[in-house]
Amino acid sequence: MKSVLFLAIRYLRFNRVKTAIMVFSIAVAVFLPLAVHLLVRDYQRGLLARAEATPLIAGAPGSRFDLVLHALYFRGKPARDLTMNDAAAINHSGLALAIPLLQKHSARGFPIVGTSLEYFDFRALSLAQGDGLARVGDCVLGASVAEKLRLHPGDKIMSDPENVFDLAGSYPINMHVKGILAPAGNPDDDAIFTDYKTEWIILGFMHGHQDVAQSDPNLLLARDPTNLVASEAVLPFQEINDDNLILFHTHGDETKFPVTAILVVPHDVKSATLLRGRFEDPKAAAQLLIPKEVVSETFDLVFRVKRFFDAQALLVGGATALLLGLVVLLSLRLRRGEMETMFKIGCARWTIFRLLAAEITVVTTCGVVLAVGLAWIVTVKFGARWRAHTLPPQAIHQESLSTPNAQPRVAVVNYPLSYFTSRLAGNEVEIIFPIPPNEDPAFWKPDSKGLREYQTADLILLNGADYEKWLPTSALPLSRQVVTSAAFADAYMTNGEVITHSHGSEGLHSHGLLDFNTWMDPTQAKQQAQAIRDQLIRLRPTAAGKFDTNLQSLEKDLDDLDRLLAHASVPLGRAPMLGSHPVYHYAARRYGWNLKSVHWEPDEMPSDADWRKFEQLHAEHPAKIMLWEEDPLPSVAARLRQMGIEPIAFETCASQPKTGDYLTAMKTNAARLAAAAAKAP
Amino acid sequence: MIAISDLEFRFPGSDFRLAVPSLSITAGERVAIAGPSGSGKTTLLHLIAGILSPERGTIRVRDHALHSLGDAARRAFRVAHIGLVFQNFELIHYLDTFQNILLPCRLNPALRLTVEMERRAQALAQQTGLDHRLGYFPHQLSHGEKQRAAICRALLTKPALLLADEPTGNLDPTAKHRIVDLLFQQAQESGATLLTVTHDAEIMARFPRVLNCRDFAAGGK
Repeated sequence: MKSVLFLAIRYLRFNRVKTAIMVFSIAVAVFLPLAVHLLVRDYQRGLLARAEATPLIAGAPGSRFDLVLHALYFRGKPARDLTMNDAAAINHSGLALAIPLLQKHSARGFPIVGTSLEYFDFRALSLAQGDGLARVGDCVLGASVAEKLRLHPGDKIMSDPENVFDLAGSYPINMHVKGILAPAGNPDDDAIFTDYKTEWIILGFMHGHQDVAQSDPNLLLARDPTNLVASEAVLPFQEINDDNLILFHTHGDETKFPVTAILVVPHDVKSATLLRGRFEDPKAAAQLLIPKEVVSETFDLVFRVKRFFDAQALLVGGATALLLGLVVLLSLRLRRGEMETMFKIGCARWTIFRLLAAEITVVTTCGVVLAVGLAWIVTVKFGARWRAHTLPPQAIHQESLSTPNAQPRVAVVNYPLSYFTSRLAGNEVEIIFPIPPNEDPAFWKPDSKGLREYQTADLILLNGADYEKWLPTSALPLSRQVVTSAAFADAYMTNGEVITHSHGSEGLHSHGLLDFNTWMDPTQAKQQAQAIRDQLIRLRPTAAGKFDTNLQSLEKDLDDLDRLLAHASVPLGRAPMLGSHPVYHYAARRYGWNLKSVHWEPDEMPSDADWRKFEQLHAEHPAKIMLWEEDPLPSVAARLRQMGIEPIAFETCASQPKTGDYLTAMKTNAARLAAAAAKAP
Repeated sequence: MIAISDLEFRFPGSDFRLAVPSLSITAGERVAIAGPSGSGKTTLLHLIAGILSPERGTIRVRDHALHSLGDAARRAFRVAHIGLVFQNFELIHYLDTFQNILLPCRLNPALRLTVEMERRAQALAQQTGLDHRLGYFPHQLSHGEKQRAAICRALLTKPALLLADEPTGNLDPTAKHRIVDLLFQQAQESGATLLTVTHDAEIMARFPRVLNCRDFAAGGK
């Protein structure tokens, strides 16, 4: 056999060109169907793995394939959008975690995927370099994007113009690269991730521009107490930085802003079934898909096409085999003399046959090996290297805990929420309130450390009513945010006074249209406490009894406070009252105060113009009592008393009172009010 | 060495018939087989070599009754006792000279390719002046070199009977005589009986015995 193989190889080596052509022909005939098969199998595995790892996808009614391709692989865009409210509804259902996706733009050809921080936990994505998303305008890059674009943390990347023929359509923004993700071996490697609000900025739902009230007067076309009309010459900022971050704002209701898809991660099988039932209604404004089913359907189609290619490959393979057979036969004719010589010198015809068989075997083996090698290279180079790592919702939640049995970390945005949580939870949770005591929490500008505290908390208790001015520009896990005042959101009050003004050391800022001091009404404070109790039970079900008991105690204290304030307000009746700031609307509504507010700071002497306006207001609204967040300057107090107005310090308790706590401070407020009311004629 | 009696051979579908009533060749004899084209010189050589089998009659070579042996046995006999030199040398074009000389060992399981065999091939090449051309392929060799390589191949197994089919065809006179000298020399050195087919009168004149195939042929080819 050794000699036969030796002679066969000598023959093939001598006829190099002929051998190479035959090997190549076989390789091509084998490679094409093999590579197609391997690639299809590889893609099928990759696509199915990612689909299987994504339990449900919600999207607007329309093409199921478009939705799944978009949500899983960031390809194409669904014809219609959902709204943020749809994601909130799923989260509030208590059945599943909703992870919004908003992907409408690209940067240097790579898709910009706007999402919430839960996405990174869900897909088990980790950072290889830099930090995660902190605020709008930040982005983290997939490993392939960073490698191909040679970007590093600290670099910037500009989003692509949406339409070169409509430059005003959406403004590209220059995003800050905060971090690079570790390779995941899936489409996440080829995406640029931002907070979904960054995508809203690119879409124009949210923007920042120079303060028209304070800058060039030529830019201001009209002004009334509640509205400013600016010239179109006002350009939005194309980059978000520390200086202009505060100027970014939304127009309209955020809950109606778009998301293109929602990854839905049910808490368990029953939740998934219930959730699917809700979307079964043909009139439902959204569809809920099981991506695995859709991807499998797609593959059924692919395999139908592949069968055609397989048949074609079989024919081509057959034709190649026939041609090669012909070549061998012709070759035998040419080599007849050689075979005769071999026979004459004593070679068996069987040995000659073995020699030919060895030649054909060697050629075929080389062709097949070459084909397999090429197919392997092609598969490695172009095949899907997709792996799908996801974590179940419980694991996503646990991710944020330093250890599974550690105290849950509850982050709050102001002192009243901290006080309520402390009263309810005791030592069951760790309360995080990272805002420095000397800063008004409503106008806090978060630094990365402070923001990180919120991002890593298990529960983020928000006040609502536009209290958290920093929230719209920050990246926080969506599912862990709870608006404690949501139960009475329809009873929010507008302060409706001034849009932009100076506010002491915080500098220029804008008040929202809502009065966010919801806890100034103890009955509302009770509802907020109840909302906190509900979330604490979700976080620590085993301590539910303790939370309930503590809530009862807190509610009793708040009822007492309510009675005190009501009692203090009785003598006032509908007598005119003044407030130094529009922060007492809820108390006024609760206790029937006839209150009007200005915008004066306790530590500032108002200007002469302010005094003139105030005198005019006082003439129309002859109040005897003026409520201040803290004692005003003595000179201001003296001038007020000259006008027959008694200034009363009535703390809002947004920050921790200098002495006591929320309850004692509010009781002190009630006592001061009662005393002033008794003195007032 | 060779004893033929009442031998008859006919190619299927042909009128040609070779009939050898009686022929005897002793060991170590040098015999030229002459005759015009188509007279059956090569056929007789192939019958003696066991490549062809007679229709009737007997061929005994070295006391082996070739006429009664099967194909495999005749092939084994051929490998063991006969060295063949062909008219057109019939070297394998994709093997170099050294491998061509060693070819019988590679093709026949009965002959093991040993180091000794390789040494013999080198020795034969040295004797025939081919030692510097061992790595060359047939198309790189001259006519004479090819012929010498074919003789080396035939002599590798130390055959008792050396059969040469027109080994000097298409050669110039000097080369012809050199080849015949070589055959004589090698046959003498190995003690082999030499049968050479030729129609060259000069070559025939150098053989002690000449057989004319015209005497054996009957009918047309």
